[in-house]
Amino acid sequence: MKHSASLAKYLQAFRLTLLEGTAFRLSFLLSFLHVPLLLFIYWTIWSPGFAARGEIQGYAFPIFITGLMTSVVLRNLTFTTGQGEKVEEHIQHGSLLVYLTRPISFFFHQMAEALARIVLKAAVGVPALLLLHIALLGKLPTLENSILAAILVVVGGVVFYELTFIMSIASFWIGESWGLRNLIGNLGWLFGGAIVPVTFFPESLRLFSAWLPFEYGLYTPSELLLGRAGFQEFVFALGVLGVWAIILFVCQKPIWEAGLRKHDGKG
Amino acid sequence: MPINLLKQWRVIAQSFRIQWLQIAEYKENFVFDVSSRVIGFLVFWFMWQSILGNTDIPGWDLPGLLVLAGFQNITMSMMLIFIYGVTKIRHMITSGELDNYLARPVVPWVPVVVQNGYFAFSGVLLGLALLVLAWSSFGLQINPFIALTILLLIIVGMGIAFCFALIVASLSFWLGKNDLFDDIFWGIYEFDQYPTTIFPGAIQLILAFTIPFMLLETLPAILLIGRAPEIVGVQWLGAGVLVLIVDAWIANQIWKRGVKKYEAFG
Repeated sequence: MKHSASLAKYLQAFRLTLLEGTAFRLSFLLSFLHVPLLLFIYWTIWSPGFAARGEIQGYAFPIFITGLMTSVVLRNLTFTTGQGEKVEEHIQHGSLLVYLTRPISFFFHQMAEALARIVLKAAVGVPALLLLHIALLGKLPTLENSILAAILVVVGGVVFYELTFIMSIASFWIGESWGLRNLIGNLGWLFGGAIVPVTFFPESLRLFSAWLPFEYGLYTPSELLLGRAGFQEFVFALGVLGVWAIILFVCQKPIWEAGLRKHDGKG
Repeated sequence: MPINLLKQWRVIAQSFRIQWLQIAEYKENFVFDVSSRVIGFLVFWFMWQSILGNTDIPGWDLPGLLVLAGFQNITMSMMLIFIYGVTKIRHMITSGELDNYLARPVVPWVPVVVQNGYFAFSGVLLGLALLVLAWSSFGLQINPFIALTILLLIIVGMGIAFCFALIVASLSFWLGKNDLFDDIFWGIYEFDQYPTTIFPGAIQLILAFTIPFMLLETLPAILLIGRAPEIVGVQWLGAGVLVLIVDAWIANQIWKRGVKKYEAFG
């Protein structure tokens, strides 16, 4: 009973963010403006190379460009930098105190809002993905692989939220934490396969990427949608993301508590 | 009210002095900011290594791209001053806070924009370091004429970018609260990682009136690595000045009409 009551509070935060988001539909639509721009940029850069060589590292051009763009859209869906800005604002302006006096967890409250934003963005992102696949490959991803990709995207979204949250609560000590969030964002671009496929990296970078969550939350789902990865890759990616989710959840607690001890709430 | 240029300059100088003191006070922040930019550069570098390892980009190799990265860091970090400043102006227009600045004997947007100067320090520092690295590793074609041309190109390019930002921000006088500016600006910003010469002429033309990456990054890099004669820089500078005059006139007209319409109702 206690748990269901507790869950209801976060569901309410989730619902309110959804309602707020639907009131600003145009804003969510425009947040995908960079997708066609990047499609144009990547097309301009890579098409001459593919025209000259036919295939590059086992990729035909349509699969290559669809994969890149799928990672771009997934990154846009799952990275909750906006939520990180809100966390920073609450700490900097002192409005965090309002949350501290309420019987809710600030971490889960913000996570509920972040997940609501992911759902809202999915309303634009999923049709955009389907359109990309139909336009560039002439076919839709299989239902089975789409479900597996969706699971990885959701778990990846939670991991990226946890990372963003930890970076944002650095504001307890350093004031502005946008630099740290940018850092995570940049790593997401690179290791999520949104700039080049991770298989294009040199071996050392490939190994480094294998330890990070970005590849499994963005690149593997993209490969699943393309039909280039299967159940085995899914299980491995889910395992790595699960470990990251647990480690980050355990880590955020002492950091949060240490930050609260330092916080004077004066804004 | 006549605008006193000396007062204007004092506001800018004083604002930058305060921000420098803030950086000196919050050193960790500055270190994180620089680290984040270094990671950003590494992402840029690995991206281009992967691209050039698999396809040819006419006229560009890694040394040229290192110089481009130097200018990108310098000019785009300075651009952040405008972006955050203009975001603040939009907020002031829609919340009614603009009153506080309209009563002062300086152009209202000047103090608002320059108070975000600290966003530029780390980027300018890293950009200069990358240019020094490129110069010591590959040698650059530098002489007083090229240095002056590059400096003027950047000043004119910044002027164009600011006018564009002010035009979009001024639309808030009519549109009220909206994120149009952020979406348009960050959309165009996607082009900042790439030399503009790889895009078709029509795209370069559009960029010339909005954020002129050609003047701010690509052309300075081309001139420094000696891939174009100096006269090309002068020709682009002339075209840039014309665009700046047109953009400045439009921005001024829209701003003035917006202020007339402004009611400070919040």
